[in-house]
Amino acid sequence: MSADEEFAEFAHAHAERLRTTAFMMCRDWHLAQDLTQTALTKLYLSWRKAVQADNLTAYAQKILLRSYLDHRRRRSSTESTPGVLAEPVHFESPELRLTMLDALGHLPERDRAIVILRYFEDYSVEQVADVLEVPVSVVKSQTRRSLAKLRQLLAADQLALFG
Amino acid sequence: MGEDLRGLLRADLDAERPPPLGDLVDVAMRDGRRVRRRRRLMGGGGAAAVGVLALVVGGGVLSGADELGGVAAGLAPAVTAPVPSGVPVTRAAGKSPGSVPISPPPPSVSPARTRTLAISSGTYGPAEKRKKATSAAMVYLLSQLLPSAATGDYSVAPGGELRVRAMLNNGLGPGMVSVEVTRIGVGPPVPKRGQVAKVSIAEFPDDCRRDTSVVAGWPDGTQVRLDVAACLPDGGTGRVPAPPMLDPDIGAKIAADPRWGTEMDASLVDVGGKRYPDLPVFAG
Repeated sequence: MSADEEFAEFAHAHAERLRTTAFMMCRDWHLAQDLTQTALTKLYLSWRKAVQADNLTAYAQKILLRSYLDHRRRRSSTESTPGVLAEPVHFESPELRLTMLDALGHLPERDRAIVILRYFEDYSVEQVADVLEVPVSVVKSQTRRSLAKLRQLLAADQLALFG
Repeated sequence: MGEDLRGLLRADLDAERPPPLGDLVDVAMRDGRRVRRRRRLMGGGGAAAVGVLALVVGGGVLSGADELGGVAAGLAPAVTAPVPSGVPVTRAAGKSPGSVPISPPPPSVSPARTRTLAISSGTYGPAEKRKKATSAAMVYLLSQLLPSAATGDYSVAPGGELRVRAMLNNGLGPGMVSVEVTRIGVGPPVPKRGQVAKVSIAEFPDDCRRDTSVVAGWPDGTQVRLDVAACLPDGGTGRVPAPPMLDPDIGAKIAADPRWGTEMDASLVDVGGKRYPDLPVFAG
């Protein structure tokens, strides 16, 4: 199998998952599509090195998240972005309940990435630290902080799920 | 706790209606091949120039994939291209701070691949009152049509010409797209705008200044030309490679948008004028 065929096989198998990760980060399917395409182009260009990685999927996720964080950095230099909610929000009515995706959107980008990698992609603390290139201690402390914030944000019936 | 959180996320995602993936993988591979081809065409000199620029502006502007495996090596850093020496730069009165350089016109090069499409606008006529087109309206429309991940650093041609340019960055590095609207004489009688644009797409692998050129022609003589550059001025006499900013098919759809014209929707003209009151002007 040629390198192009290998890449195509991997990309077709993982594009959907990568796009879902991108969507959880940005909440915009079109942007998620663009970010996934950019990440796959970068992966294609580094394919020879990528196939030597211990975990090719994590390698691709790393490129994707870096692409997203780069994109945010560029955007934030030219426009104002909505900040994190200063006050905890309590939704009494189920209709007004925040979804988990909404709540994630209230976390800063890196914290959101940590939660997604840790609890959706099921990465270990060490793997998250590697992907985001931050110390393990930062992943642990940010995870605690993020979960506390999610508890604050989510409705009462969902709080039970967090123990 | 992890299972609960994962379950909530999955439930939210199940409620989503994601658009189809389409040919995302094929487009990514095609873009990757084009970047490789450009690296080869530009040779060591171009890559070296990029390397020096990257060092000057700091590695942080290159994507993380660079450190992962030299992914971005050979791609230009995410900064506005500097002024090439020897190239005249004109500035509009009162608009000096943001003026952007332009390169000499590209030499005549035959395209390696051309194709012509007929793209239907799906509209019978203008949706609203029309006004004389302005550069600001063109910039506004271009900003609406470009892919959402790209951000624009826009400039316009001097003298009210309907020609605008965008420096974009789609995560692979900066690139350049320009759009020009003209109207050639047809008739008499002058036919109506019509519903179908004839769109020619030409790719110039040996001329990085207009890697892809798309011209959409309408029955009433309106012509929309969109050029995608594959290299940028490097501040000296040469040029550095830029990543593919637009897939040719997306470029064709942008050029064939029925809202382009020497007259445009009044709302585009009004909003464009408010949003972009003071655009930098490039020479040429």
